[in-house]
Amino acid sequence: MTAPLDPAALTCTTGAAGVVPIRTVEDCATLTPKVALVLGDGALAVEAASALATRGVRTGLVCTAPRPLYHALGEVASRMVTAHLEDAGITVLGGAQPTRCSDGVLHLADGSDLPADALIVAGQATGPGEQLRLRSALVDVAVLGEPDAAEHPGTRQITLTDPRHQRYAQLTINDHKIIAGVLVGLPQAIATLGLLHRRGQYLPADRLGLLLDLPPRPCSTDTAPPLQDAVICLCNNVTRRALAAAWRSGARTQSALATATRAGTGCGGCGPAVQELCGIWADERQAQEAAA
Amino acid sequence: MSDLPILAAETDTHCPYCALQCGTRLQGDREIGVKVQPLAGFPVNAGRLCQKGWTAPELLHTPDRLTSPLLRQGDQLVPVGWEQALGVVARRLRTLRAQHGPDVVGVFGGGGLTNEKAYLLGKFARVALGTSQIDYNGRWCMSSAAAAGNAAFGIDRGLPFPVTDLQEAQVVLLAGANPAETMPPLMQHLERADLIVLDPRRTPTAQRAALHLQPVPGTDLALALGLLHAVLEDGPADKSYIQQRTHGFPEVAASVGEWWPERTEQVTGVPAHDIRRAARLLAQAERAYVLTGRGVEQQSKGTDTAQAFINLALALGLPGRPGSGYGCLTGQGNGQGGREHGQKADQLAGYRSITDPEARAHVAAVWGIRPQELPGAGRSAFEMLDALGTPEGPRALLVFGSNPIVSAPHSARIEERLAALDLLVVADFVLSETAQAADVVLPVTQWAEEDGTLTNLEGRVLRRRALLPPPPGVRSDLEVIRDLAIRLGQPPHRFPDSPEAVFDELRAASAGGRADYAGVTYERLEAGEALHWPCPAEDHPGTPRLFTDRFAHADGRARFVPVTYREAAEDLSNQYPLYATTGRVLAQYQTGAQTRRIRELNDAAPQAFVQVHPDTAARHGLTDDTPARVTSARGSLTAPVRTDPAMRLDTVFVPFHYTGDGRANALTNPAIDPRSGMPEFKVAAVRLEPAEEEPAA
Repeated sequence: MTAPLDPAALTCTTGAAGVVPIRTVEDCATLTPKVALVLGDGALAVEAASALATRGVRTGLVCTAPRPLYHALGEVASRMVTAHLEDAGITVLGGAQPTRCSDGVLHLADGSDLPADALIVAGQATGPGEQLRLRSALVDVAVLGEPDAAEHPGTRQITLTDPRHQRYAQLTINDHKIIAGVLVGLPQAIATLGLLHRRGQYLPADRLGLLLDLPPRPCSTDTAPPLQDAVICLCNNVTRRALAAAWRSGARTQSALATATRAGTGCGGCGPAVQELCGIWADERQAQEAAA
Repeated sequence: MSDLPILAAETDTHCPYCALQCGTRLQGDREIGVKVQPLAGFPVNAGRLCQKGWTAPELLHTPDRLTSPLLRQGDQLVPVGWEQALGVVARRLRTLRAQHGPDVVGVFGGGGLTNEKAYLLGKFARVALGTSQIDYNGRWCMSSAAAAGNAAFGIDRGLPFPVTDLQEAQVVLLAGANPAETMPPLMQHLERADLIVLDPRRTPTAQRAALHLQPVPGTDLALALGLLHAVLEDGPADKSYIQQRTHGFPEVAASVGEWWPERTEQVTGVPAHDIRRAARLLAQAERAYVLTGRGVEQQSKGTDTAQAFINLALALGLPGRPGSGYGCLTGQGNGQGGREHGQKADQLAGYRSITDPEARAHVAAVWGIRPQELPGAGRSAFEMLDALGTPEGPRALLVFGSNPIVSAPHSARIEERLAALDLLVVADFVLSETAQAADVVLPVTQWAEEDGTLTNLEGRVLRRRALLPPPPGVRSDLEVIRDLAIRLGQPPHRFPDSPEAVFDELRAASAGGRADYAGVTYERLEAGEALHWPCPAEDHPGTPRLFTDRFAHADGRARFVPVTYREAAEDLSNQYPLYATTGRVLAQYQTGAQTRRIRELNDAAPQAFVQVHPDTAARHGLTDDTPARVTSARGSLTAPVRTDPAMRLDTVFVPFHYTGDGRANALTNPAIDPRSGMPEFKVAAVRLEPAEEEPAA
């Protein structure tokens, strides 16, 4: 394992021109370099790089670890975080060994030189299993619970890997509650699972729907009401059956149906649906007449 | 039989229900029945009407209409004549006042009363009764938005622009509002805009949203702070606006510093990604509105929450900019006018403060009394009801146009307090749940039987017109107030009972106040003028749009007011592991005293239900249609389950229109907002369990 980046290892001292050590992401809120290099492996480094890139700064992220958040998230998830950052235009340089800086240039052990207006040193590493909710508009990342949660008896693990959309989740579940998780690129799941975890509340039955933020599904026990009883106009409680009866009685347009049934006279949201039904019924009638 | 068409009586008026006050034409009489048509020419509804409006005429011949005063004799309410009923009320009020002083009598009004009734009721309380103890159910409706609006803008008018302005908006944030169900005809003005809807439930409004933010109940304030943080992350939208038109931005900007989206997410459950998206939608729109509703306001921090949304609107430079703005969607029919003319504990007519010596002098002069005769500020609505029958509280209560047994929070407590009174008098047109508990019930007119004015959600003064004479035995509220005032020793001229005469006095009393009606006359309204207050003179055109040049503070600038997040008054526990939140359904209105009497509406929404996520239901041994009991620290309700997979897992919803076992306010928490007096209707900690089956009869 590579040691966390140590700013002191750089031969330039912090406080030298252009070198900014930060402790929180707000520390770089006022920086306006054209080109910035962020040095660090952990959450703070990713947050700083995200904040700068979001503000339109050309940003590089230099890590001694193979990738940013590698120790916190592991191989697969950190790869996805890297992809998100790169998609947002950040140059990510993993496995780098900075040696010294001079005149706005960062020198690496492999002999490459990286120029920058600002060198932002975000020293703290983020270790495995440390709870995390990354502050970033570029990628959603969360780590929940204890690192050794999976060791508890009775736990189950669910892993979702979606390389195409760079989404990843590994959930450790016990008694229908989440006890640990690593999530990348799943904003709704992160929000919901974060709360359920913090409060020790039960997970919903539809775990995949939760992870992928799928539209809520009716339960399997539900029986849909008969088509004819569907309420088309909520504001005036008009069913498809009532509209059909009015149509048969001669109300053949949307406005005639409105007069006959009041459908569409409230919020008006059902207008297109009523229009469509008129068309369907007219076609049906035509087909019947043709057949006759 | 004649071939000539019979010309039925016809009049243009407005719907009896919500604050939209849809324009309607009524036609008919009690013999042939009354028909309603929405008015195409009234811009608010422009020919639209919801099911409540279409069926409103049925109220006019409700079979249990009160047509005689009732007097309690033991367990019974017995019909008596007006002379006897009013005689009993006046005599007992005089005795109580002689024994205990003027504050022994409380008055409880309503946001459905006309401006004339609200004004005369406020005057009656202060002058004929001399009591400080008057408040109204609007305290549970508009008070939080009102307090926040006053702090920010120096004035409180629900919408400081006509609703038709919304048509041009690109983005509208609806925070805790569900107009698709609560005021459907409004939706036609929101068809073009991308809606951002903030609601713990996936309401019909939320279903139409471009973006639905679904927070944990009681965390809307955090969400508002987070939205502002996210807006500022990208830089304030309009620096010159902030500089030229506002005060206090730096403090508010600093105060949201710790509400970055991911932290806001952890409190609200709303994804940081969606918070940023909402902020960007708002900031990038050229024309945008922020509108709040009861969802964010009916909390023990409702004022601060409304304030935070106003701060957001100000940071975006919306209020007072053409095509943009902030507003709150007023609830009750006269929720706006009802809060301006003196039935609120701390206010006199014209939105004047009862503690302001100049305001007192002005109103006292109009009323022909000395300023020192005016009482001071009284208790807010729940506080007054909570004090009834206690050694310090009122021992008699007069209720006009309200049904607090169903509408007040913690209803068990309210029932107990009302029962402890020496005298409860209720004026209503049906025997509401509160009237059933009264000692004296006075039958009064309803909407299509009376003239007057209401002020709708956009501050426009509207004429309510009578189509029908009241049924025999029924009197107008104004007549009742006048008669009681005279019996309490007031000179008759001080309490006119003609609506126009009362309105003319209201105009004088409001002249120079924040809500200035001096230039609004019945004549101008009859001529069809669209008059929004302030309208200080008869040649003044009224003010459809406020804030275009200046805000109402002395220096003309709006105020950013820093607010701090705090938790709901009641948190979840092992005993009460779920949130209950309350609200409305389309086919019912308020406590249902009116709408539960209309067959078509009752067929559509016959009873209370417990809306809950199917997994949460299953976890508690419940499925669709099984009876569930919901219990808070204050009480229980029983109603069938209605599962909805779009509900939050931690939240149950119950509509508040029902009584008996299905009464939602049995659960609600009377924790009071310190700035507005608003109770926490929207968040209570509850548990959910199967209700025992009724034993077979």
